[in-house]
Amino acid sequence: MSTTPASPGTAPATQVAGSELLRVLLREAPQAPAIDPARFRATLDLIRAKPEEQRWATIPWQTDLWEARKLAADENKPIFLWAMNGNPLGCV
Amino acid sequence: MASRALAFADPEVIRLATEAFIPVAENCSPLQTQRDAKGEFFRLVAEQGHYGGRTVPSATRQGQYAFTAGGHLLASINTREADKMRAMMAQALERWRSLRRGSDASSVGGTDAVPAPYERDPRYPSFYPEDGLVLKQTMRDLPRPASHPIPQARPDAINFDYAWFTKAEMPLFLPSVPRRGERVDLPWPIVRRLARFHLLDSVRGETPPWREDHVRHARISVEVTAVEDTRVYLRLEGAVLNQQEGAWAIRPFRQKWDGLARGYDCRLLGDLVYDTKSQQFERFDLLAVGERWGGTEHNARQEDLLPAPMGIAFERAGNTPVDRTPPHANLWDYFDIPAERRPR
Repeated sequence: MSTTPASPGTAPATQVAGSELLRVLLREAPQAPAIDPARFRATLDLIRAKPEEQRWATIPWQTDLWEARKLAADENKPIFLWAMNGNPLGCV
Repeated sequence: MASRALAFADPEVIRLATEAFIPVAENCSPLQTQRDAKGEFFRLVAEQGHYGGRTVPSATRQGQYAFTAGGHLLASINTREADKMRAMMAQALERWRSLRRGSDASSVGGTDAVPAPYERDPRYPSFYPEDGLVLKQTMRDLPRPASHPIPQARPDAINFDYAWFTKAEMPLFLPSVPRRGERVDLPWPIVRRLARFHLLDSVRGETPPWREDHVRHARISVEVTAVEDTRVYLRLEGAVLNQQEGAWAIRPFRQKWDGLARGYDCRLLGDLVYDTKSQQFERFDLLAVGERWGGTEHNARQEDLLPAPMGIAFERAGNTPVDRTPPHANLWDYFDIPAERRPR
């Protein structure tokens, strides 16, 4: 039994008006092949970040501006804030 | 995300941020509007900075700011270039030294600047799942066949996110009787969270989560492969097809285009170990592999719309402050909290 929302609104691709690109890209059912268990660890390693891709994470980032203010006051240092619309340390 | 790979990979930027400053990173979207002392403090700093007063093309205040604990701006910039970042930090440190030499030294730090506790804006509580399951997610394009019509233009692109499950939700990953050979489909609240908020193409930049009706197929199951003392070994398998069609922009702040589509059609495979004594997952290695297609306003796929392979890896997060980074999603939606329970 599939675990699906109550009304997933599956629309056959042929009923959707639009560009050739849209019709080509829509899928009526999953097509992805199963992951080969023999390739599982190698693929994980391929995706995970290498050390040289995580140099930014060697900075001892605080994650709360208020806590950073307390530390800055305690240690008598200025604050360096990296602010983005989306968390700079996560998905942005 | 380019500034992680460029400016913040620079040895001198890393050294200065680590040794000369208290480095902090935050999502400024809530800070720009939240109604509490922390939001007010951020706006006090940001309005002295590079985007102070700006409303067009957006009111964003993103960037890098150096300032005192009391809120006195030392320097600011919005850059991904290491040399500009180094110059900004050097300027900030010179002003910091100058301020400390001046007569108003008490305003730049020390006990006078210790912030008082404040009442947090109830729209932005901490949802961090203490004693729950926290996964680090890594997203990357996978190699394309040589015959693919679009060469892989940015093989170094990588992005991260975090997935949160509460302590009460962890048993939902297990059959009720954890015996070898027992198998169970994961319930919709778990599948929904993974499919809508994590099986996304954010490799080159953030993208909106899927709506519930974009999840066209989602089935994820776990099977007990072995039980040893208090350890339950599980294999997770699944298939998810997410797709959306409609009109939206595929470049920041540009016009919307009709007839667009985006999707991710993937299979999942996981190797999990749950300890019934500690009631924690000791291992949660999960892989999603499939094809993504289309683009959205901020995910930088405008030249790369055709189906191409993409992989997502999940693993248990560590215990550093960075590992408490929240998921990218609106967390009220993420935890499916009813509208009547959400503060306005």
